[in-house]
Amino acid sequence: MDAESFLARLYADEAFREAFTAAPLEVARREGLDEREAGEFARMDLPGLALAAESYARKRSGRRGPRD
Amino acid sequence: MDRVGLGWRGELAASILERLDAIDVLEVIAEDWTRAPAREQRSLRALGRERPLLLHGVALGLASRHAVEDKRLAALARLFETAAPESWSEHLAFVRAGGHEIGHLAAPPRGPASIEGALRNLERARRIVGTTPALENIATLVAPPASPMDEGAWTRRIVEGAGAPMLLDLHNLYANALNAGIEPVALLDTMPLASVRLVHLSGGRWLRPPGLAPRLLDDHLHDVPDPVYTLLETLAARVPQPLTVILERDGEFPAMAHLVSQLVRAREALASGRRLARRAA
Repeated sequence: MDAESFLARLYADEAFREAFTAAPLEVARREGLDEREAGEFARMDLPGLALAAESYARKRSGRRGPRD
Repeated sequence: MDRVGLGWRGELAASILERLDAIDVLEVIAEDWTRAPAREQRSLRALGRERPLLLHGVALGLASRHAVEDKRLAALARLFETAAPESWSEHLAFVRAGGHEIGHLAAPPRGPASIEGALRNLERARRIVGTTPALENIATLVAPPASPMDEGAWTRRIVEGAGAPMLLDLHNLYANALNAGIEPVALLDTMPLASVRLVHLSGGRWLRPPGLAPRLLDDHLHDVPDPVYTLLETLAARVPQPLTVILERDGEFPAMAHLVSQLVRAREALASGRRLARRAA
């Protein structure tokens, strides 16, 4: 999986995000990111990820959200 | 000549038509109209006779290593031909990848793959729609991992590489700067300012998760904060080209007079910035 698809899945797939949050490096490696990318994802801002994912979930559920 | 206008929303339609005297230009969300019957799409052409119309896309996902679907570009091209807008714009964002639909504008990893993908997508968009869109910076609550470049350098590479105009969203820039702990003006200075033709203004609210640092969410549901007008003044002082400024409001609509007062403040910020530039010359 490429880094962009990995990030999209983190935003869109709650179970995947929970698994990643519990073991970031392991999940990133398992999904095929190279070692540099896996390390960078493992260091990502997890509270920010949770806030962003929540915002995107609201948008997908049809509640009004920002246009951009 | 600088212009100031408003995003067209159905809830505001009657009020906008009553206050066209305060509005130089209107911006329409493309995806609100791409699936409308041709008869309704043609009504946009009539609206465009009242004020210049700008078409604003929100769902292409141009800044992606993956190709934008042909059907999305074709739908936009049909609308562009029917509505005959002055120009169109889209975001430097991805909205889907690997079969996962994010449902909103997200910042991709900022590196060579998304730059090259964006340039390929922009070339296809130019061929299919007929013109290159203005490209808008987005707000993000989280810095995208696996990003060897910062936002400004990445944005410059795409905007300048595509020879595209830039739509600079000053609230998005403001929110990203505050959320990253940097000075908004410092972030402004990393952007391709010579390419900016369009500007968005909007508002947002602070998220305050327990135990964590607050973050500013760009939600288009609140008034434009004072520092964003100051950024507009700074921008107008730094660039010589005419700017078209659009106020975006997506809900919790105040009275039209209140929105008009924000258009007036935008005009004042532009005028003040132009005066500063003349004095410095």
